[in-house]
Amino acid sequence: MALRTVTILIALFVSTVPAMAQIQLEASSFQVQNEIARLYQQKKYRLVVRKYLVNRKAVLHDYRTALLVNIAYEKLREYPEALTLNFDYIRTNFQTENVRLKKEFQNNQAPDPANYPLQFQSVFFRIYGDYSQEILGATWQGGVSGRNLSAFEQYKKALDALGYQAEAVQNIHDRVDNHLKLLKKKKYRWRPRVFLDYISWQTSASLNGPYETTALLATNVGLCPGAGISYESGFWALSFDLSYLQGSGGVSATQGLVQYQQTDVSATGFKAALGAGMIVSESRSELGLRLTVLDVSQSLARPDSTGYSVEQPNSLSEVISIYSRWTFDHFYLQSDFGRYFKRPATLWSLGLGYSFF
Amino acid sequence: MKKTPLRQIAIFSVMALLGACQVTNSNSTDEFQYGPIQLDSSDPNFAAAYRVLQNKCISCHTHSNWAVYTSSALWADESRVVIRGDAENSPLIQQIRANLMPQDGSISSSETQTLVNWIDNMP
Amino acid sequence: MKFSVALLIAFLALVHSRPAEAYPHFIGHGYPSCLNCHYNPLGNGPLTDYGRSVGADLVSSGMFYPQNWSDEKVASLSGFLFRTPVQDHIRTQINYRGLYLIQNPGTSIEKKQWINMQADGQLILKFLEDDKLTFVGDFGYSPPEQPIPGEDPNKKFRSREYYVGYRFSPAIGVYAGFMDKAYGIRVAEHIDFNRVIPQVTQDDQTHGVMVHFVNEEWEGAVQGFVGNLQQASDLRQKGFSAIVERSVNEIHRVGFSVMKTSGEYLSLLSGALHGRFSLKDGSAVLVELGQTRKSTQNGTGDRNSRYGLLQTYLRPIRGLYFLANIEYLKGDVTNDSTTIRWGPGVQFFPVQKLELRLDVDDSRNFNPNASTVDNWMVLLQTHVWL
Repeated sequence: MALRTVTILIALFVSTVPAMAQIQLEASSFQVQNEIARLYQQKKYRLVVRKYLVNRKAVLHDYRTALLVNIAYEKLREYPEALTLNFDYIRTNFQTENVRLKKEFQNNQAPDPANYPLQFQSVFFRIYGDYSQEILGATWQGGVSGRNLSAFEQYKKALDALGYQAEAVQNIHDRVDNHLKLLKKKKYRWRPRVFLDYISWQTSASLNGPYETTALLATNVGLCPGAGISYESGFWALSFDLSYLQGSGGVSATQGLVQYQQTDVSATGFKAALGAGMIVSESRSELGLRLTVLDVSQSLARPDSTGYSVEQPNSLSEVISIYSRWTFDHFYLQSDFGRYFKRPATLWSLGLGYSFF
Repeated sequence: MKKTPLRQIAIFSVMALLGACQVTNSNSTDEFQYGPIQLDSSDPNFAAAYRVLQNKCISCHTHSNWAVYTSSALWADESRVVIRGDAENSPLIQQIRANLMPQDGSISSSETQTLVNWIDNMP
Repeated sequence: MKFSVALLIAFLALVHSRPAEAYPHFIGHGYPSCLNCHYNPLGNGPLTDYGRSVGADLVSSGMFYPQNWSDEKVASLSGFLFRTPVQDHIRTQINYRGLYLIQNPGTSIEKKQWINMQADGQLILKFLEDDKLTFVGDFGYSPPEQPIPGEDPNKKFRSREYYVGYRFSPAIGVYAGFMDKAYGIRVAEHIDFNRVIPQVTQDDQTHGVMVHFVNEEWEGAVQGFVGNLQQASDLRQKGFSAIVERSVNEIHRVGFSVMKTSGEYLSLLSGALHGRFSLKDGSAVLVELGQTRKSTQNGTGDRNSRYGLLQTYLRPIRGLYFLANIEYLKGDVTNDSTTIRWGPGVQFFPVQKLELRLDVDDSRNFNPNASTVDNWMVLLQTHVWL
């Protein structure tokens, strides 16, 4: 009897869950829409989009709120996200119209604008505008996506067919045309900088004894303050850096029975590097190859025992490396990972820099 | 409520699947690494060698099973870094000779010789 | 006017997907939270429909698709076995990761091997509005590289995840079952020091309960756990962990984690600060600095270890990432010895559901009393998911 009662109560509860969920959804959707409107008025565009990301359904069911979020993305210059929102909005609210428009194009029929609500056409116009901003935001020819360009042209054709805001559509198209022509011209500029790197490298030497030769290895760390200059366009960068190196390291024998050990052996020198890289993001982060020449002096002590001497290679050495630079406004972090030409050793560095202009 | 065969099969399948699972993780050798260690005493060279291995190798190679190998036989048969009776061709000694291991270079020549003696004279 | 080419327009306005994907560095794509793309709110594990289509559209390069394929067309192929799901409650995923590892290349002790890192399937059951209620399970082939004496060497399968999750609202969810621990940046490189030292590697899942919260500025999780219940009771690490992140300057995230675990032989207390910084256009920088205090029953392993991670991703073109994975380890803070591991790499997603990766690891030890040669590894990875 008790079991039957509990079962009935549970069944009643479960049957009301969808209705309760719907009520809760509607109430919370209203709150979300109001909150987004409030944040938008306060120009807190990042908070607007974050609110949207955790309450997508509430936004997609309301044209005004979706429009605010779309504009917020545009203010943040995040056009791919703005586009995605618009696509989701059309899929959620105008799927029938969308399919109809597709079929009419397939059958070479001229669409009747009266069959397409103004909201639908308006969102198409926003999509067209967002694609144009994507293209206008490119600072080099390589930054213009072929897909975006193609989509931009297709949306123009659709808007022309629907007759929506013809003058505005043409103005946007003219702006994009002019921008593409501008990108075709290469524009270079000089950019000086200063930096401080933390560097590590290894050097080899030989301990020549009366009966054998023992390989010695020095593992060094140091600091490298320096300055450099780049000649760069929106896409490529050529650079030259010069720096002073101050470091030290431990030395020991790497094989055999001979014991040789030194601690904190000082090393000083100069480093010059010629680099070629590509700009990989809007923030001007960079990736490339660098040829470095080092002239580093480090004197290893000769053992007291007779018959022993330390032979060190030439202080001049060359390194080929991959460098990357991660830019935050004028400041940047940079890393270098390189291999010596004439010996099996690597050079690393990690640094902080400041670019002028 | 009567249990249906389908429900029983589902429960059994899940339990069987989980029972077939191996659970090796970062803690699988904790008992051997950090609990009371009982070394096999049949090899007189093993205790000294194990002290070297523990301080110079196992302390970093915590994700290997080396802490579990509490006898010379396990090292020779399971570890893949020791060849019974042939120290110079054992990967363990080759890595030390090549100055690759231990990474901080802290093993002395006498400690290396302890390991060489142990491997070359393994029963 | 002919509108034949306008067929593309309609497809563009149909189902489209949002960018975001598995790895924490995808904050560079503008999406700091893992929740939209993963069923597990802290990342890893199977992808949602949303996450799958993002992997197709934003992450993978478009260079091998036919020119007339729109992003929507590509996204429509992102489902299981390239199919669009026809129902809302059941999802499946298959994953394979293979690694060709070369240790000490070019030396007399060079070693090459192929490792099957992951070969598993996932089953997801989801119910209620917005998939509030989810059941996630994972099972796959994973033989131990070296069976432990005393354990059954024939056990070659593993489950890395099975749990039930319920989201009370978009802001709060509860998850109970067998999952990864909530700690630190969950990078894919499970041998990194920030994963190994606090013991949160790819095999260190635990049974427990986790509460996850997220809003416009904050995100975090608190987790209580009782260890891996399939493991012997004396080995289980019981405890709790917590991770919190806050948005900074609108596009970056900074945060901290704490974790305390203890078992019969070993106790760990870990804490870390971390940051995830967007360089936009898919590029990002991840930083973590942490310390773990290890206490052992026999005193042999007692130590404080300090670790650091600097991981950067630069994306020159869609689908291609250049990595720098720089790690720092002080195994014992009272010791002078420090290890730095430098790992440049390339990650390429030529088409959806396929990742190719090449990494080179160079480990160097710094000790004032000794100088040792670098330790090298070359890693070639293939990752396929269906």
